[in-house]
Amino acid sequence: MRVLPRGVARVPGPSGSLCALIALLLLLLTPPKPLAHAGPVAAVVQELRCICLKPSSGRVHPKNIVDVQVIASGPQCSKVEVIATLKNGKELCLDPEAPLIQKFIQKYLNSSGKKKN
Amino acid sequence: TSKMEDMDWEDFLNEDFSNYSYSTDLPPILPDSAPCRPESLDINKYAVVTIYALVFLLSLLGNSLVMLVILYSRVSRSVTDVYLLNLAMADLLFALTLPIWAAAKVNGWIFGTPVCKLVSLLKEVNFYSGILLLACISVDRYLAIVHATRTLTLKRHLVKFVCLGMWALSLCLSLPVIIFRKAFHPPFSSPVCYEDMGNSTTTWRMVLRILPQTFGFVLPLLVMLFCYGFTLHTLFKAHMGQKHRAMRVIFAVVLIFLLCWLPYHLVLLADTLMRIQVIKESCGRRSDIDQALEATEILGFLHSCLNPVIYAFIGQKFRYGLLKILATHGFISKRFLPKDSKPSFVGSSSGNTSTTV
Repeated sequence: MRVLPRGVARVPGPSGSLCALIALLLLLLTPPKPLAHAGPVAAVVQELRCICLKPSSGRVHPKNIVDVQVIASGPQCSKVEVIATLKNGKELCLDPEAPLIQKFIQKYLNSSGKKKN
Repeated sequence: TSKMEDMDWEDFLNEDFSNYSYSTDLPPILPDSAPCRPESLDINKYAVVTIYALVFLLSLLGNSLVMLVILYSRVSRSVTDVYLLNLAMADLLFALTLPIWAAAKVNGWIFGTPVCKLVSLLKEVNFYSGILLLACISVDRYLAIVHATRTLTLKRHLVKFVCLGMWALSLCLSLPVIIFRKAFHPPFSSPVCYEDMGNSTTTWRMVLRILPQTFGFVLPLLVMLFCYGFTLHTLFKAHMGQKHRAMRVIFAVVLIFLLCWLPYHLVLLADTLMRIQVIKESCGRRSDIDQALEATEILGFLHSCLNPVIYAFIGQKFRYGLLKILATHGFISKRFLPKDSKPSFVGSSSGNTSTTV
């Protein structure tokens, strides 16, 4: 699992700071790994936008998911974004509000914390 | 690292998902649910950089010459000339920032927050003062031609204050952008110089766009349409063809301003409509709008070098003034000075309705 933090750590609001904290923690625990879809050079952009247009409404069995990225909210998007990579290589936006996804993020934080100790 | 990820994911599966009754088939992915990552634009970066470099040089040269000619023509300087002097100053200041915008096109924003704020300030102030000064010129023409004698004596010494007021207003309108702009590194893209208001950035940006679209475009445009409409009406009623000729430069300046900035504002409007979901958002449409913003912004930047070109080609007084300066300082022979075409103050009865350009 990869979590991309926003460049600026200051995020107002309790949920925002929680996300930033999660992002920061996960960044510390996960060494960087090249972004598969960003190409050789990061895009020079004109406008910042959310990466997910609309989270998938259908449910995905976790067995089909090989990787999950969580992108903290920030100037580019007001929502936390969760992108799953499926077994067939396709990518899908998941709903960060879904209880299952929230549970997973929590779980991941806990287990990572234990490993660190 | 991926081992750790896999392990955690597997643990999670084994522990928690035995209770869930999901279909194990891969779900069909609707286009809307696939992530839409920022892509580098199709427009050739180096072509853009070349255009910026040309605009930079042309703007520096042209606007300096315009300022020189107006400053030299102390005697015949009109109210409009003072506005055009300020307009040239605004364009010149903006042109100075073009090399930085060009570099940012290639590598993203690598200059940090202070430069981001300063360069954005110059861009915004130039944009606002540019169109506000054009609106002032239209009001000046309107007063001079439609209400001929009454206001003339009053406004000659007022023009300095009007200009100062326009600069101050431009500065105020630019403040939100300056306060909130920062250099930072968003996910999946190069560093940017962009407004950062945390999670509410997107909403506030839409709200703040009302400023440039109202004060930087619609309002000055309405003022110009009103003033020039009445001015033209008066001119045609009086059959003053000569005066009409004197207005050619001013009309060209307004027309070029519109051609350069209208496309950008229309695309910006389309982007706002898409972001507030009046237009349906799709990954393809996003990329189209980004490309269009990129292209129309080049057109807007191009504007900073075009006014001097208009003066040089349409404005007889500017050409004469320039040749006179060159001749006085011995750069060219006095033979080049046109003997008969020393322009009379075209169609003017008071001297105040003519312009140096």
